[in-house]
Amino acid sequence: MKFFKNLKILAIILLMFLVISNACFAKDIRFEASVDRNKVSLGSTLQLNLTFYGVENMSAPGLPNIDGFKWQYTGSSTSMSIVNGKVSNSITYIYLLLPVKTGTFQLGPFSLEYQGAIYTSKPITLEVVEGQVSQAPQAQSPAQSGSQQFDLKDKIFLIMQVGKNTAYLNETVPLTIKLYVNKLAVRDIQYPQFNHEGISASSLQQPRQYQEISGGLAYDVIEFDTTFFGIRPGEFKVGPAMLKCNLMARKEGQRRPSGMDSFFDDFFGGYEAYPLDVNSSEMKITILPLPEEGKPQDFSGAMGNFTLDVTVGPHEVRAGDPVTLKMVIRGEGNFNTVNCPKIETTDGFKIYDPQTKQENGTKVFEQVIMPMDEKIQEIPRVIFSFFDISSGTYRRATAGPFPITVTKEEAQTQKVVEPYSKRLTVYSPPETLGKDIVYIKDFIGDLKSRQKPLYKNKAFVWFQFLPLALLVVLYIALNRRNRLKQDVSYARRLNAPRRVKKSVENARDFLKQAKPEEFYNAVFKAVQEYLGDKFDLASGGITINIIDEFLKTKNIDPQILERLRNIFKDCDMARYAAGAFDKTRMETTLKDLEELIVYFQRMKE
Amino acid sequence: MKKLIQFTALFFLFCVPVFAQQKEESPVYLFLKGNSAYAEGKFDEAISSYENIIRQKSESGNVYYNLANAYFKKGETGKAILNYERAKLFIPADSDLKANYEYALSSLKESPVALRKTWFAFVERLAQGLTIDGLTVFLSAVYFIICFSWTLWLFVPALREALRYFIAIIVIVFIFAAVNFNKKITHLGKDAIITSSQAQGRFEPLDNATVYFKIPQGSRVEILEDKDNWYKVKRLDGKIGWVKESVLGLINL
Repeated sequence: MKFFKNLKILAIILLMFLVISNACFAKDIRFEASVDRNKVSLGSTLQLNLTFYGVENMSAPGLPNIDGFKWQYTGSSTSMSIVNGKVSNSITYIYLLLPVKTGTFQLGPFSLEYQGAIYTSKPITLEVVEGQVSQAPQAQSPAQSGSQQFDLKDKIFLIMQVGKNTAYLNETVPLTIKLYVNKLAVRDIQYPQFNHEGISASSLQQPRQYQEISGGLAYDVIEFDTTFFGIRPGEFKVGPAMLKCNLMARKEGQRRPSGMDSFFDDFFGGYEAYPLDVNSSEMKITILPLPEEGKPQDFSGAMGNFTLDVTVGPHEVRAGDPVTLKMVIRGEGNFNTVNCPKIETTDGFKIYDPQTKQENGTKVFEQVIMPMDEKIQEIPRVIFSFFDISSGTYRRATAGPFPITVTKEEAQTQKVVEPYSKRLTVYSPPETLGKDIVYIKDFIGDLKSRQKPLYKNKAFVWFQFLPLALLVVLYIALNRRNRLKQDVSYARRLNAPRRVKKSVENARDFLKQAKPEEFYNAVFKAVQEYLGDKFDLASGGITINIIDEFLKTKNIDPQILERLRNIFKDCDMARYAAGAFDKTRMETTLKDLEELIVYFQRMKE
Repeated sequence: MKKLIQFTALFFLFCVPVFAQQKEESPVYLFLKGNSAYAEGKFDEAISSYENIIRQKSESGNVYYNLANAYFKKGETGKAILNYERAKLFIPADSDLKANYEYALSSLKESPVALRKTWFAFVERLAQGLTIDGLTVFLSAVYFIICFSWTLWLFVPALREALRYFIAIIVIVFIFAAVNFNKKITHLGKDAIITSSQAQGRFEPLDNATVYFKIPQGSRVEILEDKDNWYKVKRLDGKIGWVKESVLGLINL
């Protein structure tokens, strides 16, 4: 049972494989051409579809020229369908056809080569009519159907016109290009272009738009105007002019129910832009050289018919002051060829380049000239020569001379006019300076007898040591002052002789007065103070014991210590038996004290 | 009255010639006399007058300047340059002197041997407007200011911050001035100017010794030693040779 079940699944798989393989291998290639409708009005477009069945991908084929139509490739679409298990691919190339004339036309047959085989479509018959094409079949009048044929070239065309076919070198010739459009919607009209080898053309002016009836038909006309002139003699072609625009062709096949047509057509793409090139015919023009006969020397190529008007100001100037000549040339002709008129003679004048201004039909030259001499009485004639095209001869327009009054030059006024840099170069030639020695001195100056220089003067040299010595002394003093402030023992030691001297004097007074008790008190006090200051000890605590406890360690002469011990002993005894000390003993004690002080002063610390 | 007239007559007889003698000998008189001679184009007389002033051991920058001018006009450019150099010892900042000195140098046919420019030239220029005595006084003043500032620095601690930079600057000024001073006094009495256009440096102090180099007129040389009538000199470019005493003049007399 299970075996049959598996067999059934296998059979389904095999069946699906067969179906797919059939789809893959059954490639039936066909080529068909079709249009969206067989009847179309002039000025409308229709769609041509070239469909390849059984083809998945191929490049878009080009179309041959089709009589009565212009064509434009717009894109492609692909489709795939499965019908009864059969898969079919197709690719459709879509072309937009624009009928250019009325009549009945046959499209195709179209042939195409694909993978070595040639495929051919069936021909299609199309009818192009003037006016609207009605949806319902309608009997046409004989006049519409056969006798009168309409062409797109009759509905939109370009005309180029030149003012004249023969012109002189540099003569301005008007050129007009007109676009005629009859009952067609045209947009995006570009400025026309035209070949103009051998001539120089100005840029086109802003176009004019108007209506014109030609051959009984009303045309909308767009006119472009310009001028040109020949730049060398010979025969040249002008044109053809070519104008690019977009023709808004009606899509007639997509009509909607009544009433809504015009609305949607106008606002939702009832028209399709079809790019169109409109060409005109070409023109021939002959450029003649200017005659040599009667050509003035001052002729500078001006072509046309002109008048010259010159005004001068101011009329009273100083020599070197500017005078302005305003030269106005009016008339018709090629103003590009009009150059500044010539002043007959420029002797005694400084001439600057003219300023030029050109407007329609007028060219103005403002020239500054400068009379350099007060003898000048007039500004010479101004001459302008041109070639009069209408008569074919050279003519000369003149103005002046113009009387002026020139007074003597002033340096100040010259400075105003001359540019600074120029003045420097013109009026300041490099000055050559003479060279020689400067003259002798009139006064003898600071006369000195020859003597040693100052730095060899001994007094001066010694004087130089003064600030240094002063500085050293001050430095030492400052150091000492600082030490006295900071080091108390040093200060006591330093002040010890001064203080003990006072006490000794005191004792001497008591000696003279024969007061042994006061004398020995003063001596004791002097010893205490001196030893206290000298060895930085508390003076009040100094007794005879200091000898054994402190002074013996200071490497002091033992005899000195013994004498000091005796002084201490005498001082102690005098407190109790002052009467035992006579003046001689007191003198001995004072002498011992003084010698002790001298010893201690000399002793190195 | 008669006696008085006689006395006055005697006074004028004896005293006036004495005054006249003094006037003729005085440096001012000689200077004006030299100027008159110069103005008349008598340059030899002018030179004689100016040199008489110098012989009296009196000197001034203007005397040397005028003497140099007279030598220049006479055509002795070497001696002119020598006296301009002498004048520079007294009036170094005088613009006329500078102009004439440079013009005299530029008029020499052969350019004097020049010293190569060194960084020290900048320092020298700082003091070139000062005489030796002027530089001495300047140095002394700067030295006094340093000592005074140092004293202030010691005793007024509040000023130390400001004085630190001041002292640093003034010490640098002192050093530059001292270097200049040292250079000036080192060359004083040693520098000479070649006054002859025929000066030659020889290997030995002998007339027939080999010529080592030529020294253009107006060149500055340093005298190293002397022997008889010869000087051993060093050119500014360092070359040493013997020259005759007559071809040069000492700048500092």
